[in-house]
Amino acid sequence: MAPPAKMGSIDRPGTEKYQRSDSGVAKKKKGKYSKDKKLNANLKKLDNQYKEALRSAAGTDLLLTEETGFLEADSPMEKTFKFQQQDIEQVLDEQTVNKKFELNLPKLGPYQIDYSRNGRDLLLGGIKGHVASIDWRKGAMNCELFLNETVHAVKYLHNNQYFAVAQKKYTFIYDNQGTELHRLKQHIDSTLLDFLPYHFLLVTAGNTGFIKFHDVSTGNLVSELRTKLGPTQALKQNPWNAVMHAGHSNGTVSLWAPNMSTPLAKMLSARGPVTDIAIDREGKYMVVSGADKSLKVWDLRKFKELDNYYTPTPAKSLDISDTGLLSVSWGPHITVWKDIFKTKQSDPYMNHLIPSSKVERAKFVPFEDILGVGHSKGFSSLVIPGAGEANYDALELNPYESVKQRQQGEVRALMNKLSPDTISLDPNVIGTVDKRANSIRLKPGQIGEITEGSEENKMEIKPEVKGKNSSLRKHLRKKTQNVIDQRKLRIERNLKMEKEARQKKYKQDRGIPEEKDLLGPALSRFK
Amino acid sequence: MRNGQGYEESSEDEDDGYSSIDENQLVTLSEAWDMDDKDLNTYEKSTSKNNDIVLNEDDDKWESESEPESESEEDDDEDDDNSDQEDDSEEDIFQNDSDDIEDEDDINLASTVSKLQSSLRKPEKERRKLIAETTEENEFNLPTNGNKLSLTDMLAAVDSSISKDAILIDEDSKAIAAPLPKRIQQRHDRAVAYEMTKEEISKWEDTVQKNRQAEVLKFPLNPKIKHNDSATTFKSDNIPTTELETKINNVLKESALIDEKKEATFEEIAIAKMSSEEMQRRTNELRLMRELMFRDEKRAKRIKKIKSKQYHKIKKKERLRNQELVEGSDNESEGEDHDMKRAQERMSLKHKTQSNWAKSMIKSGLSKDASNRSELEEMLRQGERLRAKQLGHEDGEQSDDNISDIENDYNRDRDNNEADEAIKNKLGKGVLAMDFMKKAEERSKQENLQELEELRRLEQEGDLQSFEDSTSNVNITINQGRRVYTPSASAIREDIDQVNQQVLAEINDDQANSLTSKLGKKFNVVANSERKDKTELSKDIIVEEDVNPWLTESSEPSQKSNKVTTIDKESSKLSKAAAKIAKKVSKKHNNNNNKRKNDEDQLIDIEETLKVITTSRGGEEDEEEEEGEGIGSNENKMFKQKDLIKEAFAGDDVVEEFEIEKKRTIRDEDDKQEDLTLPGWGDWAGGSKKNKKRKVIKKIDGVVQKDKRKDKNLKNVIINEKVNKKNLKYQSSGVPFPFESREQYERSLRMPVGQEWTSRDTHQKMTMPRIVTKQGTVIDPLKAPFK
Repeated sequence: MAPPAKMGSIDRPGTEKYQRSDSGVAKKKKGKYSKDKKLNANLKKLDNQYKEALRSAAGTDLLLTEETGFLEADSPMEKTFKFQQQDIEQVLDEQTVNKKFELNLPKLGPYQIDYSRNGRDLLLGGIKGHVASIDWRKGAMNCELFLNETVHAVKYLHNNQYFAVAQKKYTFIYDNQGTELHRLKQHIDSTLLDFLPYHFLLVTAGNTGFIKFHDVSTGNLVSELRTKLGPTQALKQNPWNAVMHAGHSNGTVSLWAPNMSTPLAKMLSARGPVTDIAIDREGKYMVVSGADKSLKVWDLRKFKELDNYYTPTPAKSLDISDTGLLSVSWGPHITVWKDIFKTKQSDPYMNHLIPSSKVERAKFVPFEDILGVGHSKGFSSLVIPGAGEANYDALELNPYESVKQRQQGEVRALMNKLSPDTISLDPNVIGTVDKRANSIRLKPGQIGEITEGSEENKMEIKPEVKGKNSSLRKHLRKKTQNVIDQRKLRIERNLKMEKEARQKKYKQDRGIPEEKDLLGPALSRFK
Repeated sequence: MRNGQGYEESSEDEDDGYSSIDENQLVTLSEAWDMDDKDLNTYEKSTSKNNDIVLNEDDDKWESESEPESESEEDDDEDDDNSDQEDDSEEDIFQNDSDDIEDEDDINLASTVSKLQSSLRKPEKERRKLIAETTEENEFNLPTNGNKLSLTDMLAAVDSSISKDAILIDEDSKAIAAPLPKRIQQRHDRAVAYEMTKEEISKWEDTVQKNRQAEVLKFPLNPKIKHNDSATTFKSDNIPTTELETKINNVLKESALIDEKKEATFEEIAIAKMSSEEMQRRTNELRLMRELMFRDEKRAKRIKKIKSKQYHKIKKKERLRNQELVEGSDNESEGEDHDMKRAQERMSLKHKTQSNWAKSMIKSGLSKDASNRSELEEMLRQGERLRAKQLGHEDGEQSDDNISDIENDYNRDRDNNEADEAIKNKLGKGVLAMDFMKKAEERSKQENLQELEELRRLEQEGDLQSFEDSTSNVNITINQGRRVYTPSASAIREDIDQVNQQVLAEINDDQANSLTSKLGKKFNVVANSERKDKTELSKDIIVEEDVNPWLTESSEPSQKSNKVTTIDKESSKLSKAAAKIAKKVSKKHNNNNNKRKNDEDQLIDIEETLKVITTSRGGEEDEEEEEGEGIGSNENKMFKQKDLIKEAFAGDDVVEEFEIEKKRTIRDEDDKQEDLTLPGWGDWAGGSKKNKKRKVIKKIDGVVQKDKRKDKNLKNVIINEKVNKKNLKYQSSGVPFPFESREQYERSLRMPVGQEWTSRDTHQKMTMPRIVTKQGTVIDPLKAPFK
């Protein structure tokens, strides 16, 4: 037990949670940061602000009223994985029981599933062309499509109003009513879809071996990255830094950002092809399953393998919940693992079997204690106690949002959209000073050259100056010298203007500053 | 000034003091005028002391005689203020004069002349002196004014031992230094001025410093805190707050319309005069009055609320009846009528047996005639009624008067009656003379007497027992001599009860109003009733049954409303418990209802379709267990499996490929050396020469050196060390100005400002603009704190 904090002191229990890394931060020497008095005062002020902010943030913990609870065994002999769904169901409240449901769709399966970001809507994609968007809590169907075409993957975009479907050849975008909005013809043969919500990037990968980033807010294809590793087996995003993790058939996982043509990192995780990847919410851990029946837990901060598990059959689908539960599914089985990032586990947290079916995709529902499973015979949802984040931030994601809130949230998200260029392995690097030596560092001008130099040249508007041997001149030459008519006057005036423009341009090119207008802008027009 | 006066006086004859003008002597015009008066006095004194100065006086005289000149001189004086003050003093008078002349409207000649004379006469007396000019007139001879110049006089100006005023030789004084060159003097001045301004300005330093260091400046600085006046905040009314109020207050004060003491003293005196007991009583009285008024109001309200038509009808009837009863006695509208009747009565005087007609009738024995007799009786009755009216009491309210009065009346009546009886006897043996009539009369008299007695007792003791004595259900009628048990009896009894209670209440009210002596006793009654009131207030009002039979009849809905009585702290435990039980029962009831409803609903429940289809299979568990074991515990089996897998993927050899790739990238990204020496250059005899002197090797910087790679010690990981140039846009190429090092700069970036990452409080604090101005307010210039 920590001693109770003094009244009015800066310290408050729970401030450590909000502390930012001190790694790059200078320590003050003898109460001074710098010899400069003003700077010192400024830094001191900043420091106090930081402390106050921590304190205030810790104070808001009071508002997080909900708690996550897990299944707990009464005695060491009792195992939580022995609780069946029907056992749990008897103890559950009616509301939660209502959330558990099953859809029997044996014809068009197996089913890919996806939940909208706030967990309100469920998107089902049967491989034989059945796509359905459902408000699953109400049991209301948003839309249902029979595409008569192979559906490889489905994905909601920033909210439930749009979703992308990776079909046989192209990737399509539909709206909530099921209207086809776009056919993304650049995304050919994609089998995997993901969406970066803060960058509005739809990421596709597939048999072509390309990873493509498509900005859905502007409609531009941001980048196409060639993996050179054959068909991509798995594709997941790291929610912390928006780096895409792609699993390949040679057992490597490569990390991609849209602004780098080469992978940011490569990890050899399995001896056979990678079957699926899962990354936890904080971007600290990655779980990779391989066709060699291995399941590896990686620490992404250190790029080190933490644990190595063995699955009897290669895992088909992995997912990590907000609270850090890992779901592993293979064949008809689904196991959920708890505390897998802390220590090596011997027993799963929960266990489930869908008889005579094959699990295709299992995903935790955001903010709910429910795991949705798409399998060959349809869809079923399981109650996994403690899977959902109990306290949601309604400003960020609101599971109970109204239409107005959703619309406003969309606008806000678009205004706060991040540029794809900001994606990097360490997002904290933005705004900091480039650590490399001065010699390598680019000058401010050079950065401009790199980023927009080429475009600027294209877009530059040149004054239309004709060559010296213009038609006007020709005309003047032809006409008799001493006849002055209206046309000649006009021609002369035009020639004069041309000459001036030419001179101006010449001067500009040479970098000679322009003569000051003696009369000033108001009078110069009477020249 | 004073010091210089003597000197001036001595030299004034020469010139009017123009010769040497000391700057210190320069005075403003107004001051000069002021000084004139003083100088006049001093002059008078001086003149009385030394009479030798004659020329001066002459001057005066001369001046006084010539007005225009004096005017001109005065003008001069006005122009130069440093002129001789004595002159001024005299001119003062003339000035007034001249002024007067100038504006001839307000000339008071007599007064001015007298004034002049008075002012001139005085010196005139002393003027008569002869000056014997002994010296010959010469251009070198100066008039000495009768004084002779002595050596000491001359030395006086020089030697300080002789005169204090000596200035020419001063032992202490030294030679005056030559003034500094102008520019040096100016430099000194500037330095001093600078020091002074610096000092002045340095007073502001703290303020400026504070404002500079402040995170947020809110203008206006130090705003007046305005409290919103509401019902919860009290303020004394005496202090005017707004400008208008102060203005009005001032005007009122000036016109002495407010006497602040008035009210206060009145209150104070009133209170001071009273003793504490008296005060207590008074407050009690007031309280009682208030209480009674309140109750009355309540009652009126309650009655007003009653909507029953029947009740109102009955009330109306009652009211009309009462009105009729009242009309019989006092009707102001019938005052005239009454007067008429009175007049008629006077005229006729029919109502007494003293009238001639009556006397004659009695005498002649005609009274025994039936018609005459009835007329006589009628007359007597009329007389009696009129007498009653004359006495001033109305028929219905006689009983309200003092009992003694009634008794008196009664006695008087008895006397009268005796007389009447005599008359009656004289009248003959009618019905009234009959035995039973007499008996009845006697009995009624007795009853009246008894009642009187009772009333007397009541007055004395305040005993209300008699009213509270409830009549039994038995109706006893006197004449019948037997008891009759009737249902109407109880009704009558109720009526009687009601009347009794009303009487009681009225008496109480009366007593409360009078508040004479029996305060304590009555308080009990009042308190009881108060409590009753409170209970009535706190709960739904339960209408008293006996007050209003119609209300009780219609009280069924109100009784229902009693079910939803609010149970407060004061209500008894029993009632609370009862309420709880009732609540539970109702809840149960509701639940049952709901359940029934749900059951009905569930027949068409859509939710049901979404409900869980639980799959239960016996063999599943065993399989699961096997699986669970398969993951962790069965080491042998797992080992075998691993081997198998290794074998299965042996052909791919992914690991080796990865290693090769890593090596290649390391090599590619490392620094490189390039030999730029031209082959064959400098070689004369083939390549046999051992070491070439000129070897040009160029070093090409790679991405990262081999030993500095991040993935140097990491197995199965290749980290790309290439610079992400797109990211460079979002990095600064150097440490921004105020910071000295990268660490300091990054420290300032540590805390994000956005409200997604911080508390609202922090966010608002961090995004607050440095200067906040309130719109529509005047921002005063900075005030120095030292003032």
